[in-house]
Amino acid sequence: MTVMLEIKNLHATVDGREILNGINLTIRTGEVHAIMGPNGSGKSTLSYVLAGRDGYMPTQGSVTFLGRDLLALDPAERAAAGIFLGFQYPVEIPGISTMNFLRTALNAVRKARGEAELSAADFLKLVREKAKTLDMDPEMLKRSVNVGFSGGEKKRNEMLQMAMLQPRLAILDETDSGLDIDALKVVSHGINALRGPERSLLMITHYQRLLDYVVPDVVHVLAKGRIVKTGGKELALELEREGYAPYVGEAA
Amino acid sequence: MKTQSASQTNDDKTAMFRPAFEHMQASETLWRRFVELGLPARAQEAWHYADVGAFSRESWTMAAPADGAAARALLSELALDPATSLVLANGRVLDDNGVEPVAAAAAGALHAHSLATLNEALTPRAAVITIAAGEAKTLTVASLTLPAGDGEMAHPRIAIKVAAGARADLRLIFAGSAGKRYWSNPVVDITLGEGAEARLISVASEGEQALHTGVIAATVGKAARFASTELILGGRSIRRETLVDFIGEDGAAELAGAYLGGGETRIDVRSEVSHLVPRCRSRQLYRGVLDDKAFAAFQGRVYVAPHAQGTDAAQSTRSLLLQRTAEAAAKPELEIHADDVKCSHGATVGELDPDMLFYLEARGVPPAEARSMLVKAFIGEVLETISDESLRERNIDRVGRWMTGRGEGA
Repeated sequence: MTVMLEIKNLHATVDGREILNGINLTIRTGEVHAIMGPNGSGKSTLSYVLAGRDGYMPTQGSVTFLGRDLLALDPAERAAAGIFLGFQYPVEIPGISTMNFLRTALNAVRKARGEAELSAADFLKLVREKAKTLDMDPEMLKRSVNVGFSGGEKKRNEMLQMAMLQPRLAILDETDSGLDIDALKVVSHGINALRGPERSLLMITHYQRLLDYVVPDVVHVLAKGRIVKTGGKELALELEREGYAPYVGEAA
Repeated sequence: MKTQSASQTNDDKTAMFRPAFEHMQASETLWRRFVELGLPARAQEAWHYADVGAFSRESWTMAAPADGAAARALLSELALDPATSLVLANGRVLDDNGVEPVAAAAAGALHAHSLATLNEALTPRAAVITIAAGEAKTLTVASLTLPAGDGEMAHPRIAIKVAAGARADLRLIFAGSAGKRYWSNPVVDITLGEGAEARLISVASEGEQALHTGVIAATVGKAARFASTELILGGRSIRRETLVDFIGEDGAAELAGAYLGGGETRIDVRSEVSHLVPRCRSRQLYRGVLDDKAFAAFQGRVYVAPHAQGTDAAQSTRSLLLQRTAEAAAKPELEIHADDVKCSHGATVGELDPDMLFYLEARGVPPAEARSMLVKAFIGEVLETISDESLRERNIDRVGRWMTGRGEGA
């Protein structure tokens, strides 16, 4: 398997404070990784640094994505290159319909990838088909992005965007938070539908729950800005049983 | 002494317009009224934010009748069909489409308005649009200013009479020569009879050196409904004023406006809604987007007369600064003399939301396009008041082009 993402000695600061403290992580094509860790360990910071958010400053180290220097790209270029960040708290955008948002995003990404824009009819067909697999009412797509959506609807909307954009690497930040068991099943189904030999997943989660539905190949423990342990899927169960306390101590 | 010297200065400034009055053979009565009112001054509340220096900065001369070919070229640039539009060029009716220019004296609020008086004196014949009782009419009116050189002015005058139960759908566009320093001072005087309905959609897209001072004055009769949506996105210095007088009970007015300014554009938007009779309802929704060193002010005045019980008035204004060098001011003014009223107002100034920008960009939308989408969404609330879908889309495109123009300029 070829290497999709290679993070070497990544340090990053937020508001001048060092949050990531030398991350090393290699994800190969087709692999599903999970990063677990206590609150404040740097999980969300890692996802924002990888997606290129302003204010999340890499200060040392490198990130190579499909052979390219990821840190040199702006967020839109990263999305076009195949990075997708599933937000823990999807943003509400009044005045932009979900449909318009999806079409603009998809066509921007297609254009950047050298593909033709989709016709209105083809787009509509695609979005309806994907929405159906996520149990989403097409009427919802006429509403402003995430405005008035329930927690579960917002996460389904994230999965819809992912299904439309077909990323190579999806980074899912606490996608399971705020979901009831039915929504969790639908969202997990959406994630599993994207799994394949050409795609990789990085799931960032506090709890093991999601990993019952989306079974990872590799599990990492993040504490105080570093990966302190790496193991198989059984590591998630161990964490669930024993908590993060031993790791927090180890990193300190 | 102080007062005298102030009025002396005012006289001096009004004197600059004497040749234009003589040229147009305007009446001495109007001249005296104009001198008495004086040119607008910063000390007057209603003109506090106006670019008052511009009126006397040069010796404005009347623009001669415009060249028809130039007018037609600009119309085609604006994608307007002269066959179906009422076209005024330099204040004169060019393509009448059955509209007869006649004398129409100002009434009500306009009578005490200095620039409306100037307009009345210098363009004695208004383009009058009459919609008879129970009838409906849709019309596009283009007011073009095509001066021969710098320092020319035009005073277009449009009077609209919507009889009882009649309905008017009017689209107004104000445009002119690029690159010339001209002054367009249009007056739209609209009267709504009992149960009448009028919807105005105005676009001010003047040349980038232009000074524009436009007034819409609406007199709203019993149970009549007046709706006005404005889009302001072109000109060097633009003042748009909307005056509404409710003279019959149970009337309604919905005012919406969006203004976009970049460079060193100065925008001054003012509304004055006078609830003179009981149970009228007014809504005001204004949104501004400012870039570079642009400045915009919104002054919204609501007056409720002592016996105007049951008044329901609401006002909302929000501005978006695309750069910290831009500036916005908002000043709601409520003067309420009745006790059984509902009046509300809200004003905010902000920047583009970084969370929204990042969300769009993280989905692959390039930064310039993401900003443009958010600006269109911000203005969207105003443009949604345009019920005709193709017209709404055309105006959303105008906003998109304005944003593209800014991107190229940066």
